[in-house]
Amino acid sequence: MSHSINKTMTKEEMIDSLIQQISSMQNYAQVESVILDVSRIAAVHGFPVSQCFSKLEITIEELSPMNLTSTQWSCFRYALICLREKASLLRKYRRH
Amino acid sequence: MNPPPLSTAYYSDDELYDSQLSPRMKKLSPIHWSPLEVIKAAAAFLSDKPGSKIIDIGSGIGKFCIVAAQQYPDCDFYGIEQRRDLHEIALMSRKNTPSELNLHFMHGNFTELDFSGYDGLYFFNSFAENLYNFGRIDNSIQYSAGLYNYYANYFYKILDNKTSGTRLVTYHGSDSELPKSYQLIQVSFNNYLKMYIKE
Repeated sequence: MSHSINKTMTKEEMIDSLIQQISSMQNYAQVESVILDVSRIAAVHGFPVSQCFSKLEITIEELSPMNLTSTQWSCFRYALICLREKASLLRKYRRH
Repeated sequence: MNPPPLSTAYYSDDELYDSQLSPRMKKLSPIHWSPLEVIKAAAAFLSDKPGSKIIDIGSGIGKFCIVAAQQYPDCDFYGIEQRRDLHEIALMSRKNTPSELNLHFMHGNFTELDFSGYDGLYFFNSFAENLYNFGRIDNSIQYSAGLYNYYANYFYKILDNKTSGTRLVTYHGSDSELPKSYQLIQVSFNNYLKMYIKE
């Protein structure tokens, strides 16, 4: 699944957009597709992928459950799992 | 016509208390309703000063609040319960108790409530039903590990936002899920009952 992202956006705007997208997701498959798309979006805008992963991870970790529904919370926790897995793969790939 | 108030004797012995419950509620009692001795110890710690407002999260049929309200008439006890049938039993029991003025039951999910006005919280790990599939109360609500995680994190934030001096009692709770600012004061009942004060 590919999401439309404004071509002139900053890294912060890109992260905000991803947060908005994840907050509207209803299941883990949708979340996974958004996270899988992060590398492509980052590349389009010329942002380092690892920095985008890291920034998105920090932003999600700072979210409070008090401002989220249980579905949103669950989707963000799953997004963290996907992000960490992708970041780990990225590090492994770079070492070789 | 309302039935006459229950004798306070019903709240002096767990078996006697259970004897006035329906068969279904009686079956749930050993797992889900706090033992009277636990309630008395928790209430004594939470009702440290007159006028205290104490809330039971996941109040079920109201056993904690009813017993505590009778013991400490100068404090107010509140219960929030998301299952309507249990909430209604609590309301009915409230009518039948000698002291109902300091007893308040609310129907809803704890995430809908503003916790700022409460001085003390009683928490008999009501989120755990999301982790185990035995002894569940019913199938009227969704259960999931994800929901446990959400509730546990939400509760953490509530506790974190409370003012210094807030009292907390957990029964079958976990220290690791509480903010570090809660200082453990007393432990009893095989380490299941823990009493904390926020620094």
